[in-house]
Parts: sequence; structure tokens; C-alpha cells
Amino acid sequence: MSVISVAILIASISSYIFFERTYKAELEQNLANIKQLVQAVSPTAAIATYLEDMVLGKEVVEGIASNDLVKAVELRSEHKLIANSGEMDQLDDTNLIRFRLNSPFIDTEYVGELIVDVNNELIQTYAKNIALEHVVLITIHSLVLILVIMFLLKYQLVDVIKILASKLHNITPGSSQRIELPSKHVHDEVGLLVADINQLLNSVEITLARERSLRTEVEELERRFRGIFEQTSGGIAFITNEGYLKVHNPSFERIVGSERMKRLDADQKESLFSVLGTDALTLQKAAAQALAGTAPVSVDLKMSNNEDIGWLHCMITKMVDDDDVPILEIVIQDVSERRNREHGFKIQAELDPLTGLYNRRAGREKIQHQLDAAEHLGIEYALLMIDLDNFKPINDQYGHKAGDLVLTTLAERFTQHVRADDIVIRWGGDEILICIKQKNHDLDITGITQKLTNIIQQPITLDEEQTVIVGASIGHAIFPLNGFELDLLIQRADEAMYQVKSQVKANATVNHL
Amino acid sequence: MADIVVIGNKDIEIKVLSKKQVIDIYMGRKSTFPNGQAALPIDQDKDSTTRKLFYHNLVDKTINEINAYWARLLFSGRAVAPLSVKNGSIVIDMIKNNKSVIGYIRLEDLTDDVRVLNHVD
Repeated sequence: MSVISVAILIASISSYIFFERTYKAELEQNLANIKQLVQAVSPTAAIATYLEDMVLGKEVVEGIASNDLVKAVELRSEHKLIANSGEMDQLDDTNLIRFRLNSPFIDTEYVGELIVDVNNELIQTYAKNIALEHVVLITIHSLVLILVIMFLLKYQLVDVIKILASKLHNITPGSSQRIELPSKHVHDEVGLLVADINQLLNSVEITLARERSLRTEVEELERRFRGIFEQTSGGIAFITNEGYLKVHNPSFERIVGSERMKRLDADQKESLFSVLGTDALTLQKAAAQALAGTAPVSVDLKMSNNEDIGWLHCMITKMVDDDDVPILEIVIQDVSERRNREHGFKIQAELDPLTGLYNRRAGREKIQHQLDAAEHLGIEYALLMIDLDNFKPINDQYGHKAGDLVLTTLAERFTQHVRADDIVIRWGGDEILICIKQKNHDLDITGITQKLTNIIQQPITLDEEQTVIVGASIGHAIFPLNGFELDLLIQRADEAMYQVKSQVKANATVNHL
Repeated sequence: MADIVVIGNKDIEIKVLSKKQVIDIYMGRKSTFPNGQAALPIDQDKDSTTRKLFYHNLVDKTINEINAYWARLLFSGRAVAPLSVKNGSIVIDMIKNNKSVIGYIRLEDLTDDVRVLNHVD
């Protein structure tokens, strides 16, 4: 619609301009025509004026006056009116055209003039009419042209584009749909446009397919990683510098325990450092170390869960999140079992399985350690070798179980009666070595020996019905008094014990209740 | 080039005519001498070279042009073409016998019987 209004505007403006120009041109043309007319008759007019010939003059004047555009004509010699036609308005000089006439024989000699009164009104009317006529014709011409063009455009272009637009509208981007190229437009701009659109659709389809497969890949990866994160047996968590929990996996919850998790997740969040309790400081230090450096930091933490003591192996790594903020990744594993196993191994390696006392090897090592330290500290150690009497008969009579019971009972008694720094060792089948530490030269070996004997000779309950009493021979050696070398001391104690054994016979009495 | 002279009767008042005056008389504008006395121009024969030369020298026009001039005035006006005579001697004769007549002859044909009024060259 705006096309039409613009067209109308242009048409109006150009019509006006065209009218004006045509009008002026017509005016000038008419005037020129009159002048030409006069030019044509001016030789004759000159003669008529020269001769003052009224007949000839009249002929001339009437010839001119016959033109519609001439209102009046006068032919004058210098002094006389030779001829005239029509009413000349002398007062209005503007319409008059004067033509000077010269002698036909002496062309510098002025003989008279021809005065023409032009009918300007008529000229103007003629001019207007012609101009108008032209303008109307042009307008009609333009209108017809416009209509034809509009029609052609609509048919050739607008409709084609509408069809194209609706086809395109119905295409889903990413599908294999394309626009069919109309055969008559193969070689023109419309054809080009369609070809380009199809190309665009091609690339869209390719791109979308790629994006889709990429997304599927990413989703698959994400699922797998999430699976790993969620299901791995190790507890993984991301914490801030201060130890506040950001992200964690289910294993982390399980390892840390629900009580602690509540505290970590509460509205007033507690820091992981404080929630783990005992070894919070260790963890905090490890975290600081990880933050300061680039390598992961490993640390073992003791975690107490009411009665149980657990061990956590923690690995802390510094990471950087999306906003370049440093964040800590902490991976925890419950190593309590391993720890206990190791402990167990240790125990197995060091302790006598039956009695729980140190075994020979471990015990010896322990004593050696003490002696090594003792040389510098002025401390005395007494090594007491205890050999049980009549142990074998009890074994034979009451079975191994009874024997075991005797041993364990005695081991218990010893352990209860010695001090922390004293070492009780199962030296042999029925031999016990006790190492007693004594400060301040307070060693009362006799007293100790007697005490031990008393302990040993207390009745031992086998079961509800039976008790037994065992005896023992005790020999001793004192460090550093009796020597510095452990082996030597043990040998001495052993010898002392055998001496006692052979001298005093302890009898095992069996009492039937 | 032979000169042409315009001659008149010896006894007339007018002693001389200007070129313009000759033209006016011969082209029909004036039928009198400047002093008001009648003036009657005569031409030489229409085919004569003298005539040709006369009009050529006088108004720089050909015989055809002069004829056309007179033809235009045939049906109008009072102007009439000059009478034409055969040759120069007839011109002299006419002038001798008539005080109003003027004519033109070649210079070599000039006699004492007439007065030279104008030299046309």
C-alpha cells in the first residue's frame, strides 16, 4: 500500500512540474510562432511601409491578423498609419510586439514598424489546455504502467514469494525437508534464493544432528561419571577452605556416618574439621598443606564412633572450580579393618596367641630396647625366669585344655600384678620370663620373687569341680649388676632357675572336692 | 567596369540626385523630384546589361529581384514600374524632349544633350 501512496505522490509532483514546463514552453512556442509569422511577411511589410502602399499594407496586416493569436496589427511608416486590423489597446504596452522595418533597398534606413497585439489570454488558454492534455495522457500512461507492473509483480514475484514463505514456514529446522524449486524459476533470483535456502537447511540439519549426537555423548559420559561418583566405595567430597561441605557422594555419607552428616548439612553448617572430632587438627593441617602446594596430601585420621575406633585414610587435593576459586577435594576410605588387621598382624607377630603375653622374639626385642635406653638412665632391670613345676602332669591328667587354662590364668595374674613398664614374656611351653624395671636402686629381688611365687601358688580353677595348684622355680639376673648383655643375663637367670629347681621340689597336689 | 550615369534634361532645376533619391524615384516611392516637379524614370531594355548593371550598382539586386518587386505591386498600390526603352540613345532622345524624364546610360554613351544627375557605381 505504501508503494501506491509513494507512486501517487511522485506522480502528483511530476505532473505539476510537467504541467508548468509544458505551459511555459507552449507560451514561448506560440510567441515564437507569431514572431516567425511576422518575419515571413516582413519583407513585404517593409515594401508596403517604404512605399506607403496601403493596399499592400492591408494585405500584410490581414495576413497576420488572420492568426487567432493576434488581436490587432498596425503597420506604420514614420509618420503615417499604413494599415491596421483589429482593436489595438494602446494603453497596455505589455502585450505589444514591435517589429522594426527597414528600407528594402537601404537596410539601415528605418522606414516604419509593425506592431502586433498578441492575444495572451488565448495563448495561455491554449497552453494550459495542451499542458493539461499532456499531463492527463502521462498520468493515464503511468497508471496503466503501474497497474500492469503491479499485476505482473504480484503474479510473478509476490505470489511466488508467498508460496515460498509458506513452504518455508512449514519446514522444521533439522529435518530432511527441503523446498522444491519451481521449474520456471530455475535461472532467476527466485531460483537462487531457493537454492540458498536449501543449502542453509542442509547445514542446519547437519549441525543439529551433530549437536544431538554430541549431547547424547555428553549425557552418556555424564551418566557414567555420575555413576562412578555415586557408586564408588571411596567417599568423595568437595569442601571449602574452611572445611564446609559443598558436594558429596553416598559413600562419603556412609563412611562419615549419619550423625556427623546431620551436623555437616545443618542450617548452621559445621566444618568437616570440627565434625570428625579427635583428629580435626590433623585434617586441618593437611588441608592447609594441600592448599599451599600442588600435590595431594594423604593423612590417616582416627575417628571415634562412640565405642568403635575407626581409621580413615584421607587424600586431599587442591582443585579450582569454574570461577577460579580454590576448592578441596577430599577422598576418604575406611581403613579401620586394614588398620586392625595390621594391628592384628602386629599382635600375631608379637604376642603369644594363647596367653596374650609377648612371644619370645618380640619380648626379647622389647627388653633389649629397654636395656639400650637404660644404660644411660641409671635404671636397673631384673630378669626373672619362671619355670612351672608339674605342669606336664596336669596336661597329661586333665588334658591340654586344662593346661591352657593354667597358663592363661597365670598370665593374667602376672599381667595384673606387674607395672606398665614391666614386660611379661611367654618364654617357652611352661616358661615365663618377666622383666621388671626398677628405679632408684629399690630392687627387692627377694620380695619380688616371693610375691610371684605366691601368685603362682594360688589355686587355679579348671572348672566347677576342679582346682589345681602349680608351683614354680624362679631364677633371676640383674642388669647391670649381673651383666650388660641380654643373652648373658638370660643365661644367668636360666641357670639360677635350674639351681632352684634342683634344690627345691614343689609338689602339685590335686584336691578332689 | 563601365560606369552608369543617371541623366536628366538639361533645363531642369535639379542639378544632382543622391543615391537615395534615385532609388526612391526608380522604386516607385517618389514620383517627383525633391523640388516637387514630376519625375518619370525609364528603364533600359529588360535584357540589357546596362539595366542589369544599373540595378546592381544602385541596390545590389538582380533583375529577377527587381521584377519580383514590381510583380508584388502589380495588384495594389499606385507604384508602377518604370517604362522600358530599347537603348541608351532612345533614353537620351526622350530626356531631350521631356523635362520630367530621367534615365540611365553608360558613361561612354554620354552626350552633351543631357545632364548627369548621379554616378552609379
